[in-house]
Amino acid sequence: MNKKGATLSFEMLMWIPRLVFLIIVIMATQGIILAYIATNVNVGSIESHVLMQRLQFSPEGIVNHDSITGRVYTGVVDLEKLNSHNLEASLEAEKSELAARFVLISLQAENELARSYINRETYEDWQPIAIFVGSSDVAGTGRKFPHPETRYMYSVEPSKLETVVITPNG
Amino acid sequence: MRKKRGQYANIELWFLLAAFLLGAVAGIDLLKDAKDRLDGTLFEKNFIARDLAMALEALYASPGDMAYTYDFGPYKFLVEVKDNEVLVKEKAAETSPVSYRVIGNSFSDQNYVSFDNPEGYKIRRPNMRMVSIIDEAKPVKLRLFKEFSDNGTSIVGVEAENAQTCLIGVNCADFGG
Repeated sequence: MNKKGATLSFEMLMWIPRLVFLIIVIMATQGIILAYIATNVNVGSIESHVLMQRLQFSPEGIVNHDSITGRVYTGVVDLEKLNSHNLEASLEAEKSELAARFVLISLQAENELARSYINRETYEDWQPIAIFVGSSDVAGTGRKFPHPETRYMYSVEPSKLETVVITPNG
Repeated sequence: MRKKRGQYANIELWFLLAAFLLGAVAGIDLLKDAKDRLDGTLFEKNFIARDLAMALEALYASPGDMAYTYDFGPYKFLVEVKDNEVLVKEKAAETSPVSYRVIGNSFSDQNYVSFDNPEGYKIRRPNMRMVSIIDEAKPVKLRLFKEFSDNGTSIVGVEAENAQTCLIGVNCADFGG
């Protein structure tokens, strides 16, 4: 009688791993199917590009602007405008939305003329993740995407503006 | 003795049945979820929220007057432009609309003081909600525009065609929001 009882409980206990494995198989199948259904598109690179266009073409941007004629001198950087305070005030980007670094380098002397950030703390927090994500094909909701871009500009001399915009996943 | 063996077999059969039932329920749920995602408009809403946010950001980049008509095509979505985001939903009562950020967009009517003009580089920004669609047979369109005035101020606005709208913080309470 004891032996039968033991067999019964062993049989019953065996159903626990069976059900666990069944659930794992169901969830894995669901995961595989859902991974192929795209409901989201990452537009971080376009967002970064539009932001750069905005800084280069809009009167709110970093280029010279004649407030009398309203003319915007595209590509001619006003060094007084290229600082973190002004950029943050101009774009009002939330800390969780976007972070960016701008470095203006002289083409001839190759020295740094100006360096500024949008949400510097966020940029420094996100940079290691962005470097890792940018160099590998990792997945996950906490990903941060780097969007480096170089534009040729003119400030006091011919120069290039190297920017890295980091956008969150979503 | 035989009766007891039958009893064990019965218990095992019930477990087997429970496992099949669990598998069937989960399987049907999975197929239903996949079908909902494919048939639903989540992708389209996500796309329009992002597309509209990018269009608004491009509008902000404009150095001069600009107007752009955004056609929703076959989709009858309700759009809200507020704070620093664009929200897209199917029905006015929808509690979890799809949203996307708009950088540098406080959407306030206050003067926007910029480094360029310490007295106030004024940008009046849109802050509107589509309440309902007027004619379901016709497409819904949005007119996005940026207009500069002689004194250097500019207005970024959003107007809807074939949809009733309200201004957030002004008269949306009249429409129940």
